[in-house]
Amino acid sequence: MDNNKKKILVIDDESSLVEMLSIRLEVNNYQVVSACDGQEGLDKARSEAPDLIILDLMLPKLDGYQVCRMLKSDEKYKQIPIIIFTARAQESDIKAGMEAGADAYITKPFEPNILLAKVSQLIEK
Amino acid sequence: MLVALNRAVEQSPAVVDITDKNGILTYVNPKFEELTGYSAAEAIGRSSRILKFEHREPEFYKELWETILSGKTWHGEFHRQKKDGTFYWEDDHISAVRDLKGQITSFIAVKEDITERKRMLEELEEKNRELFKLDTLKSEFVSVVSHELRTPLSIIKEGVSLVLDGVIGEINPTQNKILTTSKNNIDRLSRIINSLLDISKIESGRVELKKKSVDLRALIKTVVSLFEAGAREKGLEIRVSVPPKGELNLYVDEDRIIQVFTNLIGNSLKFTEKGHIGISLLQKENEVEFTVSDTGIGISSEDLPKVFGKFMQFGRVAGNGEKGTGLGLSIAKGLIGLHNGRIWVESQVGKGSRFIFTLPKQQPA
Repeated sequence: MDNNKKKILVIDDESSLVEMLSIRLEVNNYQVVSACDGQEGLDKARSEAPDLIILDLMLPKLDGYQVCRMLKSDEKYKQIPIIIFTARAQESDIKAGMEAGADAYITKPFEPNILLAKVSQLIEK
Repeated sequence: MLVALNRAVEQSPAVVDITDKNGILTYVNPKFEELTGYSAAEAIGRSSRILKFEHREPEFYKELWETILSGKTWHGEFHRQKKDGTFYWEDDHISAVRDLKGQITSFIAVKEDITERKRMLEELEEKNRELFKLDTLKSEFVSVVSHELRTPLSIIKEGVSLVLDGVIGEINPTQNKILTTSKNNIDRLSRIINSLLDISKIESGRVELKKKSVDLRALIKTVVSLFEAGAREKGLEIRVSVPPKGELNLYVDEDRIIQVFTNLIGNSLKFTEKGHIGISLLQKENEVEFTVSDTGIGISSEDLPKVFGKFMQFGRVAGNGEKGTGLGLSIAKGLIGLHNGRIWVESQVGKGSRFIFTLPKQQPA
């Protein structure tokens, strides 16, 4: 495995979406790990040391807001950029996500180019 | 004269009764007999309390007596019982009659049966509550469905995009064309979902405006930049007319006003094949007036009153133009309404359309 590749953790319970997003990210030279619920996501965020997290909001076990808050309130992990990735496009949902400490948000359905631009912008930072 | 007065009372469609100072009935008119079921012979000489009524709070009686004793007419409602036991609602006007020394000699009551009126009112209120509940339910439904639709839509879109972008391998021009059309229609579906959500939020009053002081010149510049490419493609000119000097700020929700412009200009672009699209801003005393005009196909006088309705689509031409949702103008109207502004349209078939909206300079916070 190429160790220079940046690692992205995708936390989403829609496995087909994770599958396709992984293809998209891998083609663009990222390494992808995934989790399909909030708890697994939190565990992998701690064990895999990703460079960025793409996080769905509606997740089993722990929801995205909780995962976000837990990571962002932890000194060890709070510098990992988090992109909220959600079908809930209401202003109030987005606001709640940003208040939970997220660095950016992308609403579904998404524009691949916009997602890639946000990812690279947050990883370069 | 007295005879005539007596006749008037006898014929009155309202109940009239008179009691002495002790509350003993001394006169009842025929309407009294008809309504209560007590004949005059049964009623006269008995206390007016034969018409039992629902107990009220002490303050109610206090106010009643204070009003009457001060010489005024008391007006209020009683829930009373007829001779046969059925209840009815009565609207009463009661006043006291005094002799020359100022002593109360009798009380006159003019009453109306309002049972039916009250029942209808209650029914209406109940229907209103039901409608409101249904409306809330509908809005919640739309909101949930919209969210549920977005996830599978995003999977389909990313799948199509991956192949279209050549990520998986090269595709030939026909494949490209098919996938491009698919992708455009996925985006169209997305827009429909967003519009549905918007309109349901507007209708249920759940739009929260994020107002701030907005520089209108910058706002119009943003709006124009969104449509420059599209206009150029069709060979249309976008003409902007904004006062060159002076402060041009309004306290509004910038994104929502951009959305209004987007919906209006989007329509103009769709329905104009040659000429220009005009965007202008006019300072008035208490408001700012915005106009989006075009030299397009126009709207018939028949369709004109309907353009702000939901799911109204006019003059649609078959072809590869971007299809609308029929919600753009009703959303625009809703958003302008939320800003306490007005929106209207002037149009002539074959000459073009002008959509005008105003925003008051004084916006509530």
